[in-house]
Amino acid sequence: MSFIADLHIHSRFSRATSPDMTPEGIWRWAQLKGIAVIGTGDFTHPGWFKEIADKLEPSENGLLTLKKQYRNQDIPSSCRADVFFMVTGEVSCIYSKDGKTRKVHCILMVPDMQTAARINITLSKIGNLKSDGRPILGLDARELLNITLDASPEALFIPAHAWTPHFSVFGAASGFNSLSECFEDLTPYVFSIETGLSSDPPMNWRLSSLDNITLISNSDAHSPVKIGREANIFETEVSYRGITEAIKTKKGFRNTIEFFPEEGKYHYDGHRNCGICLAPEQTKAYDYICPVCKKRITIGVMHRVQTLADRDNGSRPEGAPDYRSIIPLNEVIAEALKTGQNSKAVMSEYFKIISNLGPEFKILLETPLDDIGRVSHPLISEAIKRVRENKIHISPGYDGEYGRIKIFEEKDIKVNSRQMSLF
Amino acid sequence: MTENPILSGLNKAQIKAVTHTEGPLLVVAGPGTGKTHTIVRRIAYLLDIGVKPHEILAITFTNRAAREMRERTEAFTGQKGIGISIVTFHMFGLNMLRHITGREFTLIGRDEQVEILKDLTGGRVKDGLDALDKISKIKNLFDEKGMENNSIYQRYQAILRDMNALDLDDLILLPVELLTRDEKAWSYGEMFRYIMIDEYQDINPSQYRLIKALSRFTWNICAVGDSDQAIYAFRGADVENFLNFERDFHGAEVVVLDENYRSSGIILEASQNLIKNNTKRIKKDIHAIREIENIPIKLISTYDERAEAEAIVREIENRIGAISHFHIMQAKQSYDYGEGSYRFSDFAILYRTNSQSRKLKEAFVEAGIPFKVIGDTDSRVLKQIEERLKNRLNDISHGSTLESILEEAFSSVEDDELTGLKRNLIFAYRDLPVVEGLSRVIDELSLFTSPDAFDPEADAVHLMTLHMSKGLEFKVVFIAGVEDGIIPYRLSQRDGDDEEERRLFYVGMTRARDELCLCYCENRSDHGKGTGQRPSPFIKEIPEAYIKHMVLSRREKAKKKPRQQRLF
Ligand SMILES: [Zn+2]
Ligand SMILES: [Zn+2]
Ligand SMILES: [Zn+2]
Repeated sequence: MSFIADLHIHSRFSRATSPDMTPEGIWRWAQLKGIAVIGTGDFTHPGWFKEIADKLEPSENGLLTLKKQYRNQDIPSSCRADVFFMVTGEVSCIYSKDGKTRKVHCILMVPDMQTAARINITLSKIGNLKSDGRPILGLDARELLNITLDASPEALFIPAHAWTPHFSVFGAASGFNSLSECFEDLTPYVFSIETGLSSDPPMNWRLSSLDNITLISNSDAHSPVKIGREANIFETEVSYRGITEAIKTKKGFRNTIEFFPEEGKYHYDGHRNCGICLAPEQTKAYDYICPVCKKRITIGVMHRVQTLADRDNGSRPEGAPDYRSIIPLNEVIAEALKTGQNSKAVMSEYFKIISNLGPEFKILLETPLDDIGRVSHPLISEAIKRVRENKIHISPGYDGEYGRIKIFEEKDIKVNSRQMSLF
Repeated sequence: MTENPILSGLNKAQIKAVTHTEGPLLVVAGPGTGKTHTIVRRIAYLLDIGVKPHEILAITFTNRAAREMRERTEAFTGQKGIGISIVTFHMFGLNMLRHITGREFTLIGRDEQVEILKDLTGGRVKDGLDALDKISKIKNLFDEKGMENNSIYQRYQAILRDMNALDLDDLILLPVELLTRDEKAWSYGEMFRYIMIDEYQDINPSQYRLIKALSRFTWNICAVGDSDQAIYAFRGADVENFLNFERDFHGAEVVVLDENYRSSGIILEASQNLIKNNTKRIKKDIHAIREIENIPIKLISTYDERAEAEAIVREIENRIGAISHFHIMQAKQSYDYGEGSYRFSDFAILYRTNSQSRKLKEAFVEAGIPFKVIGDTDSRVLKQIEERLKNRLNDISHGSTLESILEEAFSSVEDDELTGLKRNLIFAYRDLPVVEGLSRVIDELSLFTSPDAFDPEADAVHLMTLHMSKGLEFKVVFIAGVEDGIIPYRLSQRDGDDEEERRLFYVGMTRARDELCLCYCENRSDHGKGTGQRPSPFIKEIPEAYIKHMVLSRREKAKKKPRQQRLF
């Protein structure tokens, strides 16, 4: 069976997250998006651990479900479906190795709450787990992998958003040049990396060392509406084992759903506060020094990939799963309506569409454009068409600033508006 | 001439300390001068010239110090070092008593002492604690009058005798007594031909008597220590013993280890300028060996202790770089990531009194920076829970589950972190049979409550009192609350001992390898004080040229906020 999974999100116990990231809220939004399996996130946090222990219950397949008495949020019938939770968490390892400060975020996936508890006990000897749902620990990432494997051989350890400059295994600022530099003898237990919003599979295909690694994609959502902005499509049984085996072997891992990497916050180089956005070549021309503040430029993902790549652009290793690029539906609507992403108008259009036609992923990937056109603004189905055909323009993100999407040129809007007035 | 490998890499003074084996020797070892290194080589040298392992006795104050010295000696001497006694004062006493009496004793701990004394003084815990203080003082100060006249003392000793029990202080007193009259004790004492005592400045009168008693059998007494680091007067230690060593041990040689391998020149000079204002000391002139950048001592003044804590957090963030995406997005400038190589355990925050740790902890929790408070209440609470569970292990009633047992043992705990730990322990082990699950839980807890609070493996910012910092070192050290009345510490009208307080500050300063930050507030509420705090008078004893002053008043803080927002 084919299904969509988003395995890296955060609860309301993480910093700068929405108070709606509750088990109920996540359960609801997974359905609106069309996600069958979603990570719990934050299992290390004592408050969240209690909440998932109280509100979720284990099911036969090694995943959890929301207890019946908590399923009282309003879901349009077009979207209603089963949602399973996988026990997941993320740890920020900040440590020093080979004479450099290292900062590596890592995703942990575990088969049950018992394994999560065992990991938590070990981690609480090392640091404080309650300050943040994604705790910062002075722990070598290799040691964290070791702890994870010790807790259960079925647990899975995945370097998170592997390319972001500040907090990732390949990050330009405080990462490594290869997985083995970081994980040494345990490198064979790293089966997968998360590509992050600012990189897509073709960029990762440029490193032959990643040929055997499964490239997964998750939303890293801090609020419900961001759930599923990246995700994975599996073609296997809906179970902990099914999913983790697919990640380990690529068998049953069909493809990823990707952000356009240009839209990611760290695609290009630059300085957000100096208003400087540079392509890798330009950065080199400036000798890595910001022309405004004279400090070192924040190196983006594109640049970093180019530095570590051993293949040219456009090469694709054999057996690499496919991918689909999307723009989240609310952003598409916002672009069509020329209004803010989270505005009332956008959200009411959003709910109108999914209530009529089904969950967001279905709309973005499958629903015939005519059907979309029938229930919504014609510019919206035109926008979805352009996204599906990759006919869009994005000014790239840099140094923490999201890229800016442009689906329509000014003239398109005028033409379309005139057509509109004819109705 | 081929160099003796035992002496290789040692400086002149260290070689002298190592090779002077016969007759009394006082080694004055300032901070960072390679004290343990020298003692280890001295032991190796003794073995090399034919001294038998069992003839060597090295006495330390803490288990940690004994363990470290033992490990380093074994690493250097290998098999040859087996049989050397490297022990604490208490361990020495216990070994000796076992050896010469052939009997076993019950050793009672602090909790049991309080229990006994509580009953003797009318049933209140507070009275029991007070009595314990008094009795401990009588024993440590070797107060013979007190022993003869204090009725509680005598009743307490009688109870212990009936129980065939000893308390920790008895492990020093009893050997002293036996060495004066028991022949078996003499032959035990005669065994040790070479005796070394670490941290000699910290010995109390009864420990002094023990050393004197042992010196009747050998004159090869080597005392190692630093009069400038004597900080245990409140426990009855007396720095005079150190200063009188030459008088007590005729013909003593004095060696001053004068090369510092730890701190930058500026930190070392500043601390020496401070400590030379003391009178009770052995004068010494130490110079810095490490060739590193001389970063001025940062003096940070803030509006209150909350701002102080935030300033310290910021200083750490500046060095380690962005801690989270959240911090990056908050920052008003793009993060410059240098080639820095800091880890959290490179930083320590020292303070005079435990109550100062509260605001600091809050700031670290808020920043999400991993930290450990040495000697924290958490580990005491966990220790109690561990004890409670151990008692339950033999007494598990039918129908009780791991969950019910843990819920009961943790019932008085309110802290989220510990409640979270309880829940995790239940989830991790509830599927096991109750007894097995419970023993696993006890094993886990014992790792949280290791006897030596400082865990060098724990990569976290360390928070501790100045007293706890002795013997440790960190790349960057912050001393918080460098204010008059706190450093030097003064309780109400009663003046403290300024020399002791200066030594304590000196110990704190000399923990720093690369950088030292001193902080003081204008206002403080965590210390029973209100407004109008003044900086510590000790700051004036540091030459101004070594100091870079940074003033963060409340006004400055308020000014910055709007600018930050405008940039978004
Ligand atoms: Zn992350
Ligand atoms: Zn995350
Ligand atoms: Zn700049």
